[in-house]
Parts: sequence; structure tokens; C-alpha cells
Amino acid sequence: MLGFALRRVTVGLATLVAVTLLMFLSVSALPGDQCSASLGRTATEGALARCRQEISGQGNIAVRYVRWTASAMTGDLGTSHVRKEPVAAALAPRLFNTFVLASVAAGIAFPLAIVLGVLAALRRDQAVDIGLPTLTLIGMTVPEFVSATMLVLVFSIWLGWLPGISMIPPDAPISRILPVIATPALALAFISMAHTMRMVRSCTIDVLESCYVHMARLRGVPERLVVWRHVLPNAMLPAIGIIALQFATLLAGVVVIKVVFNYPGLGRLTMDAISNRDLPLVLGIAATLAAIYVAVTLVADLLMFALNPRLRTVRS
Amino acid sequence: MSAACALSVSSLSVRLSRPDGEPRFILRDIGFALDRGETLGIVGESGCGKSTLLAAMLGSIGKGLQIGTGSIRLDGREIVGIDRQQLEHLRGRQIALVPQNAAQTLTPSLTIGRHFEEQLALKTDLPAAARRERAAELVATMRLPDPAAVLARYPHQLSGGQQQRIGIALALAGQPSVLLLDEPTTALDVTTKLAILDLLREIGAQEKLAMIYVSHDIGVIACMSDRIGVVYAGELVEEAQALVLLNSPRHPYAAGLLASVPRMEAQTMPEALPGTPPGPRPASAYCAFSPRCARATGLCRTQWPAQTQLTPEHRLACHHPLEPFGLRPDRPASIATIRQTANGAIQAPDIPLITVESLEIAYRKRSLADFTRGRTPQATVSDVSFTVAPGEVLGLIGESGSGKSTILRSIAGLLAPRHGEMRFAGQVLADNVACRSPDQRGRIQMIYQNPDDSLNPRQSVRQIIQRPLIWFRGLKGAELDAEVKALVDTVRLPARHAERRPGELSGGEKQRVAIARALAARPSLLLCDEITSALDVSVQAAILGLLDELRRETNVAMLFVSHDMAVIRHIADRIVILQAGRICEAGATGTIMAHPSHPYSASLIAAACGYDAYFR
Repeated sequence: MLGFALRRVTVGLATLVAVTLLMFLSVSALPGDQCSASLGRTATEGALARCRQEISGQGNIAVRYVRWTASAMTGDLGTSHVRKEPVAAALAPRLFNTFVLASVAAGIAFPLAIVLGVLAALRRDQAVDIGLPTLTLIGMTVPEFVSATMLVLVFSIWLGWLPGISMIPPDAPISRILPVIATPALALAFISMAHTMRMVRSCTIDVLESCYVHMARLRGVPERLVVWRHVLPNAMLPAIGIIALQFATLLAGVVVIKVVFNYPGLGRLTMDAISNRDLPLVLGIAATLAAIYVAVTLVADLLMFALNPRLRTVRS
Repeated sequence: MSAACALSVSSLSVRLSRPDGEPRFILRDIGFALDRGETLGIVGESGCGKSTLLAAMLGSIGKGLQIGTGSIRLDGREIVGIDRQQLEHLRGRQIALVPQNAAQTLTPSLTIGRHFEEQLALKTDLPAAARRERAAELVATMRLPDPAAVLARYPHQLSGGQQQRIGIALALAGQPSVLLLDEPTTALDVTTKLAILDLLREIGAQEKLAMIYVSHDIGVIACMSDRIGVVYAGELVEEAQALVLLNSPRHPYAAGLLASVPRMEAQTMPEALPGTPPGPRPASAYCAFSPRCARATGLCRTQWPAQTQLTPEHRLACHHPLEPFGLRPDRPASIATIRQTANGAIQAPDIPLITVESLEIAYRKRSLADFTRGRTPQATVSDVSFTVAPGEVLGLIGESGSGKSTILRSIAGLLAPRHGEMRFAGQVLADNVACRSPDQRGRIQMIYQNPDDSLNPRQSVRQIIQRPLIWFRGLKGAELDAEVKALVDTVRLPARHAERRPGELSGGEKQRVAIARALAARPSLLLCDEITSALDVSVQAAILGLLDELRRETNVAMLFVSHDMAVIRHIADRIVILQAGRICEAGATGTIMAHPSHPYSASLIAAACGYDAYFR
């Protein structure tokens, strides 16, 4: 177990280094440079030259990457040119908001996806199993900005039950976040549930058709116990990986939805950073998102390892 | 049939549940009765309905099938048509199944102890504390060492033999009166198999179980059964006491099946049974076996043979049965026998075709960790040397994991040995097949165990055979067509099969295609990896006969890998016995069979001879 965990952590760190290095290189390779980007089109030649001088004084790209990495490890991701504040300070409250939103969406999506996925598998080829996938197919294929807009239209404008956009500052306390979170969380949950449910269904069907489930029935184990004891534990193992990936997507991806709802999370910050050419901020966000992906998959791998006796125990 | 019977089945039919058209039957008019303490063996080729019969007795015939007529009574109680709850109650308590492949039938997320706990809680009245004890007791009955440790393990932590024992113990947990055994030893090694069979016989007698033992392995059926039923195309064509049926079968199918079994003591080649069983058929008005039967007459093709009672214990459905003890036709002597009587003991020839010297093979390469700790990964095969002469068949025998197939893979150039040298026709053979000359590649050809995996399902037989002809011999046009035709003919397939795809052929036909493909390159050495193990005995006999003829016609040498001593005995001039990757004995077939000098070879031979005792 320890060896496996160590190997996994090492691979995770290596991934992180590779991603940040790639980001660092591509940011450097962009047409125009940090200086022209941050100083804007009206910058004088003199100002640009001063700025460039300052940067080249920091050494070549390798030295700058090592420095950046070293300070990133202490929590210092540099300073945003546009916002004139440390990148970490801009990130922290939005990261927290995103985490709250993703957790609420996950809390709705995953339990529902598991229950419905298993149900569809158990009632295979019956009405439930034909209806649900059709519904989820819609969830997966309709572009997210459409489904998000539809939700706003239905719940906020027609019904007036929920606020349409989030009019809160990034550093609002959680008590102010929760009331406005419902619509974006629902939109996110809908998409995430669609993917997860389909995977849970197919994992469950695989297990239902396995020899050991058939044999449990032939031993005279009642159907209820067959499902709870023999099917679910084995079907949920591969589902953990899928759920983890979906959760990472909820945290790091789906930028558009967060923009539609004007939610003060990482998504909107990313859009702002990119359109302002705020390169230190872009770099900081990319590193954070990569770290989230790596961390979530790491946790999922360790969880799967701990729950799967085939991996946990050595063959004797 | 008395109510005292543990199990009685009468006029049972199972058919495909199609709403329209003529009903097609998987099982038709099956009837038998079984008392406690009795074992009925059921034999037949694959596809004859053996598994469906077992499934019907468990009330689980699967989707798409339905019970047409008939009744199945367990201790006098009808089980056809009862609801799911009642079935769940019966299963494991009155009737239990020992499955074929125990490894796949144990739930991977539960420990062995949890399996027993579940079964004992559901099927017995024991209190929780007593259940643990009872589980340990059941495991101990299976002669597994340290029951407590076994119960704490997960299924994947046990060996195949141990898993099979657990499968049996689980079936016995609810103290059923009827035990169904579905080929429970097929996946096991000879020695493990014998131990399990002994155990089953002992437990059957002790618990007075009524057992139904289904297998296509007639040897196993012979040692297990009091009575034997022969199933063909879903019908019970003959049923008699075991010794009567084994020595004096009256139905031509039963006789053909028995003649195709390779035997240790017989001086004759096993005899093939031509043709294949039909699929689900309508309730037709003719004998299902007549298309394959040498004795069939017009009567057989127009009238369905009803079952007749020869003696109170011998039932038969045939218009033209064999005479009692009619099964002694003059069969051709097996090749090994002919050669040995002609030349005395066969000497290792002077000019070998292939020489293998001190071969050592490991699947795992030395890793960095191995280097730093100064260790070498375990070799799968070590210090193996042998030669094969032109036209000679060398048998490689051993249990699974003894390294037989590994050696073949190395000779084929698919797995580089760690040490050792291979010489082919006087030249050094490169480790990697890509480094060998086209001539060497063509002259060494491999045939795999399972033709389903080794033939491309999307190509026709013609395309499959053409490939090596074009590649190795540069044939084209009319010449190519003629050669394909000749090869199809060589492996005794009808010419029209050339246009078929593997999916349209039977298992035996597919293996013939694989052989034709190997022959296309005009090989001097055929590497045969368990090429008959996936086939029915009747088909196995035909393939063995074919290989023997091919050898005489083309003087091709063979390295024939098998775990079955009786098969090897009929085909090989010399044998090499492997144990845990090392040669434990090598020599002429006849000599080793008569005087094995290593205890391991002796036990392998004894295990294979075990069955012969029943054919007397």
C-alpha cells in the first residue's frame, strides 16, 4: 500500500511539473510579450524597454521557471499585472467559491447518478432504462450555455423561484453564497449526472452479467442480497474513477456556466485573466487547476486501491 | 417413480421461446430418476444440451428458453413452474451446483469467510457463533490446510484447485440432497483433478448425496458414476449402469464417443466420430444421430426411435443398436506402437532438425530494483535441452505452469530466452523472430490451442490460407488457387469451406484451417500448443489422426505440447516431461510409459491410467 501510494504521489508531482513547465513555455512563446500585454497598446517605447530590461534582468527562461516554481511552493504565485495584487490573493476566495459550487453540484449529481444508473441497469431494456439514457443524452449533447440559459429562463424569469445571476462579491461569506448557488449548481449537476449515470449503468451491467452474480443466484441468495452484496460493491469500484474525474471537471472545467451565471469562481477569473492578457494570473490559474486534477485523481486512485481486495492484498 | 427419489425428471422438454413457427427443442423428452447416494454421469459432445439440463433442474434455463412439458421433482416436490421465492429457498438447501470455473464464480469483493457466512445464514438455522465453526469445518473437510487462514482470504488469493474445493464446500453448506456437478475438474491439472474426484466420491458416499456429474471427459465420468446417460441433440439416447455402458454401449453414438477417447493401455489410435451435433431442432420424425451414423437405414430417417427398456436398468433409443459387447472393431494400431515394435526403442537420431540447449527463459526482465538488490527474477524455464529429428514427434508434457508453452514461444521467436542456444537445421536460430531469415520463419510454424483466437474472424478460409502462400512462396493466380484447394483437401475439409469464414465452421473445422495455414509455408517443424484441448474428444481423435497422416505424407516434425498423457502417448515418438520449468524425465514414449523412473512421471501416468481401469 505504501509503495503504491508513494509511486502514485511521485507520478502526480511529475505531472504537475510537466504541466506547469508546458504552460510556462507556451506563455513565453506567445506573440508579443508580457510587457506589451500588461502595459497595453498605448505604452511608450521607453516604458516597454524598461519593462523588458526588468524581465531579462531576472535571467533566462530556465532560471525564471525554477524561481517561479520555488516561490509557488511557498504559496507565492507572483503578482498580477492588471489587478496589481498577488495572484494567490486573487485566486484564494474564488477557489473557495468554486469549491462550494462544485460540492453542491456533486452532492446533487452523484447520488442521483448512482441510484438512477443502478436502477437503469437492473431494469435493463424496460421503460426506465430506455427513458433515462435518452434524457441524459440530451444533457450531454445540448451545449452547456444553452442548458444554463434555459435554466435561467425557466426558474428565474418565468417562475421567479431562483435568482438568475449571482450578484455577490468574490469574498462573500458562505451564508451569502448558498442562496444564489442553486441555479448554477443545478445546471452543473445536470451535465455531470448525465455522464456519471451512463458509466454507472454500464459498470453495473457488466457485473450483473458476471459468473459470480449468476452463481450467487444459483446458490439461492435472494435477489435483494445479490444486488447489495454481490453487485454494488463490485460495480462501484470502476465508478469511483469516473466520479473523481467528473468532480475534477466540476472544479476546473465548465468555465462557460460560471460565466453565464456571473458566479465569482475560478471560471470567470480565468476568462478575465485571458482577455486581459494577465499572464502571471493565467499561469497561476493553470497551475492550480492542474493541481486540482492531480489531487482528485490521486485520491480516487488511493481510494480504489484501498477498496479493491485484488489490489490491496498480494496473491499468495 | 416413487416419491422417495431424491430427484426425478420425466418427459422434460426445453425449447426456444419463439412465439411463431415450429418449436425448436434444446432438450426433448428427458427422463430419469436418482436416489440418494447414487451418481448419474451425463456425457455428450458440446452443444448437446448438458448444461441446459442442469440449468433446468435449478430452475434457471435462461432468457429465450422455456420449459415445454415435463416435470422435475425434488424429494417428490414439483419444481417446474414454482415462483422465484420458492426457487431461492430450494437452491442451496435441497439442490446445489458445483460450477465449472470456481475462480469466476466467487465474488471478488468478499472473503471466503463471507461467502460461507452468507450461505450458512441463509440456508441453515445455525446461530452466528456456530456458523464460523461450521465454515471452518467445511473447509477442513475439503482437506485445505489452515481453515481459519483460508476463510480470511479473498478468492484471488487461492489457487485454482483451492478455489474449486471452496466451490464444492459452498455447495455443501446448506446440506442439499442433490448435488449437480458441471465439469468441476475441467480447468484443473491431472493430479489436482484426481484429488478432487476422490474427495467428491468420498463426500457423496458420506452424505448420501444424489449427484449428477456432467462432463465431456468420459474418463472422469467413468470413475465417478454408478450410471451413465448419453445425451445427443438434447435427447437421452442411452442410459445404463456405468460398467455396462462403458464396455457394451448399444447406441452407435455412445460407442463412437467411447472409441474416440484416447486410452493409455489401448494399442490402437482413438477413432474419430465424423460430423457435428445439430443445433436446436424441431420435434422431427427421424433419429437425430442418423446423419452421422454408419448403421442408419431408411427407417432411421423417417421414424423417431422411441425409448425402449432393454433391462430394468438399461434404456436405449435406437432402431439398429449394436450387439452386446459389439465394440471391438479392428482399429489401426497407434503409430507409436508400430514404430516401437518395428525398431525397438527409438534412439535419438544423429542429425537433429532442431537442437535446444540449456534454455533458460524468464518472463520478467531484471528491473532496476533487482540490480540494486543483486537478485535475478525467477526463471519460468531453466536448463532445458532436447532435439527433434526430421519427421519426429516430440511430446512436451507437464502441468499448467510447467513451462511447456513458454518453450514453444521461445522456439517460435516470440519470447527471447535469457540463456541457451537454439539451432535449426545446423544454423543458429535468432532469439527474435524478426531477426530470422524468411526461410527459417517459413519452416517453423505454430498452431495455437484455441482456433477462435488464432483465426481472423473477418477473413475467409481462403484468405487465411493464402497469406502464407503469397508471403513465403510467392504464389499467385491459378497456382495460388490450386494450392489453396490442395491444402483444404489435405486437412480433409470439403472444398466449399474455402469461401466460409471461421464463424461458420465448427471447432474441429477451425482447427483444421489453422493446421492448413501452418502447412502452407511448407514447414519442417510444427509447434503444436495444446491444439486438441479445446475440442470435444470425438473431434480430438480426428485431429490426432490427421496430424499422424500429415507426418507420414510430408515428413514434418512436431513439438507437441499437451497436459494429457493419453493424447501424447498416441502421437509422440519421444516425450519430455517437465516439472516446474525443468526436465524431470525424457525418453522414448514406450519406455517411459512402461518404466517411468521419476516419481512425478509415474504419478502423471498413474493419473491418466486411472480411467482405463473402468474399461474392462
